[in-house]
Amino acid sequence: MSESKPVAGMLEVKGGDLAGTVSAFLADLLGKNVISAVLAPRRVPAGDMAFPALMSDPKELKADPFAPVLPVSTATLVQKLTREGPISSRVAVVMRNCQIRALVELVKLKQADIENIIVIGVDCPGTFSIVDYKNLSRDRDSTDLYLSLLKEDKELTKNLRSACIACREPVPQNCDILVGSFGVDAGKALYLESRTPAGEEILKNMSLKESPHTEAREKAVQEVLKKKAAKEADFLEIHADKKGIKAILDFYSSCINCQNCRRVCPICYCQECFFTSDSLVRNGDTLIGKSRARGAFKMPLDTLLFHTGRMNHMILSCVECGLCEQACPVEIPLMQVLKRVAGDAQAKFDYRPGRSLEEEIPLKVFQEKEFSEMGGE
Amino acid sequence: MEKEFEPRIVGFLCNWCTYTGADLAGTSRIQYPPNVRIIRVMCSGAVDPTYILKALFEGADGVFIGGCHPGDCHYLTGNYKARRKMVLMKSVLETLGLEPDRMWLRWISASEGQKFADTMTEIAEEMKQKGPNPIKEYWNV
Repeated sequence: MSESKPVAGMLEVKGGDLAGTVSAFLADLLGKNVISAVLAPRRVPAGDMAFPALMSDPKELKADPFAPVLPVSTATLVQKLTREGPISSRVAVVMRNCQIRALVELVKLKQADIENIIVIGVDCPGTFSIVDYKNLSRDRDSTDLYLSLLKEDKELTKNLRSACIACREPVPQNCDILVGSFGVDAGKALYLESRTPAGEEILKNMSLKESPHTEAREKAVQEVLKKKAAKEADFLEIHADKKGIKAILDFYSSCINCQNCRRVCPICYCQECFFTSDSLVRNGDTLIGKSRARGAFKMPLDTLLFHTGRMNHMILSCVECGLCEQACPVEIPLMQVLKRVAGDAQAKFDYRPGRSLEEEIPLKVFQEKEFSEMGGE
Repeated sequence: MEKEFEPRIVGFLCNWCTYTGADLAGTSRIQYPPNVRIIRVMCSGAVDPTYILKALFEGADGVFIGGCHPGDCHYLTGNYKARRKMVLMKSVLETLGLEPDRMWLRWISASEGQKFADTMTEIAEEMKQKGPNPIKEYWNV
């Protein structure tokens, strides 16, 4: 984090066009060669979905950065961009906090490189599932939906993805530039703030309006965070009954072992997953032997092994973005269990994924004297 | 007469310490309950949680992981990492309500044949008290 005073101010939204305003801001940076490309959500020609697009021509910069939908992990896209090391020119990436947190984890796991990545974090009042967004966006544009969510429109809010309803970190932390909409009249102006020297460099060359709202904004953010923490606590409590062998097997009863949850997870970065490897393949005779031991078993096998094994592999870095749940073709509400497992496991190590780049991932380090009860001493 | 429940325990023993310790127990003719099925691994740190889960879900009543004492790891830090993995795994099982007390991690050196025998006795006794792994009742695992 920068030690100098961050640059903060208001960006006027002309004609209530939120998307256009941010697009113009980004196009300006492109035009001045401050950045070479922008990765931001953009409405697809069909008009019913917004997908991240890598845009490098200022004229083509038609971002829809507030579209309340998260079709794929943006953190994974940054990982793909930087697979072979840092890119040679600067790219601005518009991200929501869950994805920024996932990116922080990927950097710590040495899977992504954020040198030359300018993270532009947007306040997130939540996202809809892909299907819900498709239906909603037929009649309403993203700005309309986003502003309504900011105003906590009851009808819309209850249709958000459960991961978003129970998210307690909707405000970006580890970004270069924050685009804030909580606590300001977002239809008229957005709150911009630099969080790193790179962000400061960019914002200080802009003619931002003095922000008379900084204090009000801070208060509003605290208010939002308080409300969201309560929502998360409610969610965890409601689903605390999913516990015990029978309840857990019932919970995953419709799982078809497609592993979509793993495929879309920003944290599951392995090129080849243990669960798709030959390690769990048994021949026919072994299977019949296995059947004899219990009389019968379900096929395909290893449903519980997959879910619990995956938890052991990724849960300490799980940012609870809920993309797994969104990708589940049989609509298992995965977050109801995953959020509890993540919260408990991360608390054991006093670790919060995405909190800081410096904080080591618990399984990569150890203390000589710790958890001594585990070894029976 | 009804047969007493004999727990089946899968033991992952590190090659350098606990496996050699078990060997010593054998060559010293120390008696211990025959409930453990030993799998030799190169390091306790090499035991992925998935191995333990698979054993439990396929019907093992308990899983034992044996490694070198802290500071004695042949690979310097493997056992410290095993310890953290076990903390994580027990936490996951605890949250899911899947009986984390069916797993043990113990440090047994190559010279501790008696400790190995004592540990096996302790685990077998505890498991007999606890009863069979209830997951064996389910075909839809």
